[in-house]
Amino acid sequence: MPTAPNLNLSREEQARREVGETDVAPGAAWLACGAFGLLLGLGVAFEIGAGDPAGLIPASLRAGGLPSECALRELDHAIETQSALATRLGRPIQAGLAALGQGNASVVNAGAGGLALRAELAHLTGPDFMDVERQRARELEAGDCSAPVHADPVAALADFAQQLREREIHLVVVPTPGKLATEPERLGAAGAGLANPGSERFQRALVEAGVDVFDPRPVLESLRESGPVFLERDSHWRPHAVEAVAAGLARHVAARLEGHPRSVFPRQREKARNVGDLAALLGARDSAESVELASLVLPGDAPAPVLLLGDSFSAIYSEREAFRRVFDPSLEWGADAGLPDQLAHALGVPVRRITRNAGGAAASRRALAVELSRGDPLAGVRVVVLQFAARELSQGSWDPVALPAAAPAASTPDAAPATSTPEAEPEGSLRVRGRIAARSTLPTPGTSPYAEAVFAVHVTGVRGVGARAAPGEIVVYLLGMQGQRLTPAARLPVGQEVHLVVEPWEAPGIQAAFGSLFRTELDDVSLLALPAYFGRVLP
Amino acid sequence: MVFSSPTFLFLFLPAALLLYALTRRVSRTLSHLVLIGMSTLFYGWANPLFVPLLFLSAAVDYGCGLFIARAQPGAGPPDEGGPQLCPPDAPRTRSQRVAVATSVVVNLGVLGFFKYGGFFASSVASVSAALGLGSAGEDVLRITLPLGISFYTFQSMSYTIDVYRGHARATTSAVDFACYVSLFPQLVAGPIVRFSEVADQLRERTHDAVRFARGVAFFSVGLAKKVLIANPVGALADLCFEAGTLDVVSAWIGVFAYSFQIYFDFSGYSDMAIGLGLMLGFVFPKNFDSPYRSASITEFWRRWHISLSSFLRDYLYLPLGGNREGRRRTAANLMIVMGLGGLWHGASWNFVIWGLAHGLLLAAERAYGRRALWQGLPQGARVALSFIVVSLLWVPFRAADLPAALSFYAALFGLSEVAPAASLVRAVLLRPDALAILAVAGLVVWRAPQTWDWTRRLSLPRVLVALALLAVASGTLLTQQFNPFIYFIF
Repeated sequence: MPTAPNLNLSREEQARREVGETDVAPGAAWLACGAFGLLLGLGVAFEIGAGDPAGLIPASLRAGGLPSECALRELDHAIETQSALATRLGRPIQAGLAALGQGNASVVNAGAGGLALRAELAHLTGPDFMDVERQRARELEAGDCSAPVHADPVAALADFAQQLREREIHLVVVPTPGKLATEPERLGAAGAGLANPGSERFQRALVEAGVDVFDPRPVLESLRESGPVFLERDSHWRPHAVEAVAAGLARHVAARLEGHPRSVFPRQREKARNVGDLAALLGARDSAESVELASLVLPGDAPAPVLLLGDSFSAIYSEREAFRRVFDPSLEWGADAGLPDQLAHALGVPVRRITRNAGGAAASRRALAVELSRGDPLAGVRVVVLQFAARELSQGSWDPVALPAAAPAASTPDAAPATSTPEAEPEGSLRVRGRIAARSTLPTPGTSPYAEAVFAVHVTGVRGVGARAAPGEIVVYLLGMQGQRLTPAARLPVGQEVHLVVEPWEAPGIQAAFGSLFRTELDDVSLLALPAYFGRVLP
Repeated sequence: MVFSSPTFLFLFLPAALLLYALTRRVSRTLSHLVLIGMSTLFYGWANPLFVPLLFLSAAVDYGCGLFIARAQPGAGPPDEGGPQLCPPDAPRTRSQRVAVATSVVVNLGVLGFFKYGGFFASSVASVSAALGLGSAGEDVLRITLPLGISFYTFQSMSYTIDVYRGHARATTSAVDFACYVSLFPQLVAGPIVRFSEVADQLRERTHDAVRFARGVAFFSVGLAKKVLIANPVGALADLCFEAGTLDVVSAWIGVFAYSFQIYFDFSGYSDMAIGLGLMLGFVFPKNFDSPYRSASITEFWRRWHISLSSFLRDYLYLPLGGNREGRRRTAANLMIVMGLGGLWHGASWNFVIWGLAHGLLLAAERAYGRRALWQGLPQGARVALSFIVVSLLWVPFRAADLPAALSFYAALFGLSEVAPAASLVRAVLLRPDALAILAVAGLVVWRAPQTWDWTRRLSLPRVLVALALLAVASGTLLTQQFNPFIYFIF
């Protein structure tokens, strides 16, 4: 470095002379300038063509004032993922690259059958998630633009087990290995039963903390000899693997249910067909695969001694709507044949379920807290099974979740006193106005395996519009992402006055359509006791 | 804002070029105000709160520079270009010395606080804890690093020093100076351009289709280097450097992948900056000169990040005495300069170690007659060995911390335990597409012409190749998520 260049000209003089020597035909120069201008204009042209350029501006920027670092980052991200250029050109390009064997930020593409989540690869090959320094680094890396990260899974699970123990309920934790852990050959790798270096220490720590663990790895390993355990172009397990794990789990918890009457739940064979989540993330929509399911015929409202909290490994084959593809509604993964259903079959007792696709580190525990604030999903429950994808151990945020005391069902507008003549609305619905006081976040379109997402807003100053009275403040769930695109509702900022049509969240029709979709909740758990609705935004 | 982002490419850049084109014929000052405005938007996009810091640095140096020039005893009367050049050999007054010291203290103070405050505090806390005088603490001091602070403070400060030394004339135009400091093409990651190098261009520069076309070619090649090579090889490097377990083969692939990543990332950025400069009429000097074709470490540092190397040479190495004070002092000077150069990259002992290791090799080569320690080998082997040594020294530069660097070295030489999951890393690295991109990177590094040479004669086929690269890189960009340049964090 400190050696002076052996040249008489300064660097700047050399550069100027260089540029002065540029040799380009006028036609070629104008072609370069014109084509460059056209390319640059493409983004604006596409956005204007799409008709809603302002729609990209995130809620946080619409609130006004000096834009924050986080709001600008959000806008940058919206342009990257939601602009007309990204959706109209980016997705076909992504599909083309996938056909050429390329992956993307979410998916490793190793050719035929070799699709896997990059997050799982990072978990398996990454550093020991139980290392305290590593956990501290993760918590510090979270930054100011995202929610704080709790990197210690043992603390969260021990606390959760203790809260359940105080209610005389036994907790069984089921860390579920992913596709690469079970079938590393999908990527051309050798070995079997791969795990993060912290996995064994994690299980020992849980046992020492008095938390019961069921490890599905041996069951899945035993299945490998008879064929693929995981779907070809999806990150989840096949139906027969679900049945085998459910049987093993049933043996593990059976003793806890002694004395409880057993039933036989008949099963019926059905077929389901879908495009895998990994293929969908790569934009490859023409590669559906089929599975055969053993769906249960379950009794209606029988009391359940087991509650299964889980992520998409529990929801697949169980929650039809949660996996239905927007681009072809006939594509879905079936119903009543997932882990909770097969566990019920193996145990001979009903199994209640609360599943949330993604975010298995905290989402299902948080959902239980929400349900407890609106009723008592733990009534009669002896065993809670907490299933989550093992990769959450090194990537999830293990937020502590305080379970509230069970509450009676929250009041709904139907129960509120009428103060004026009801306006004609769909049965059970209510038109309200109010101001958004808080909202939950949404996943990034294109990076979440789930095409739909529901988010929550806290609406204050609520007043009925020419209709029945409304509670002063409510929680409203809105559809925030549909077909991997943010909806206009997703861009509502905090502070915005809104006009909504709402229906009680617990209404059967609403639950059937939206209850099983990926959902984010408000950070302030105290708000969960408010009456909850599903809403649609009116102009 | 990042050059390789849809926001920059499809929104910011067309707006900036359009506004500039509309105003540059009206008046130079107006066009510079437009550039300052767009540069402020570009810089504030990362965090608006740091914009005042940029202009504080610029204001201090503008004021100090003007003061130094006006306070020069015996200087001739100012002309329309501003105060006369301070004669290099003439004595300086105390007030001039205070002014230049103010500039240096303010800039290094800002840099020190934001970049090294937390590092210093945590180092003190660690030493205290080791001596039993206190606890290491969890969060000693967490300060957000303003984007590009290392670049713009050096660039802005160099102006005052050059005026003081009589190497540059002070400017009376605050607009021109603010434009120089904030110019978005090279604001956040260089090349570090000295005021004397662009002073004339700030007053008058050429805008024509030829220059713009060459700028397009530069920008296209730079974007392709970043999006089509640096990002894919970077994914391979990330996999290795973030792995908890690695076999020997994977570790070597990982270290070479990082060597390619940092070169294509930074030289791609420099090409884009030079291209954008040309579109705006500015000519910035070359920042990379095929560094991996060097046959020695000394040669490597003549070719790598030339603007920083030159800055350190002129403002640190030579004032320390350079090579004029004997062999030991020269070696010490090299170690000091390279150690501080390492620290300039980041507040971490890893960077210091990286710099010192290079300093040691430079000193050894100096003692060996400015030749490579492996001078006796054929040229190809010397180049290969230099590349391997440079690559090995990238390990502490890339690793998260010192223990991680040591673990990586252990993996490179087969001294670490290999867990079964290492087979996954190896499988990904040995996939045909991974090997193909590494091969392409190697071919470009050792066989392709430099961007400066390739764009000198822009025939129609070359223009078409450049446009094709631009189209493919832009299309690929639409499938990638936020991909900042490595040097953005320095």
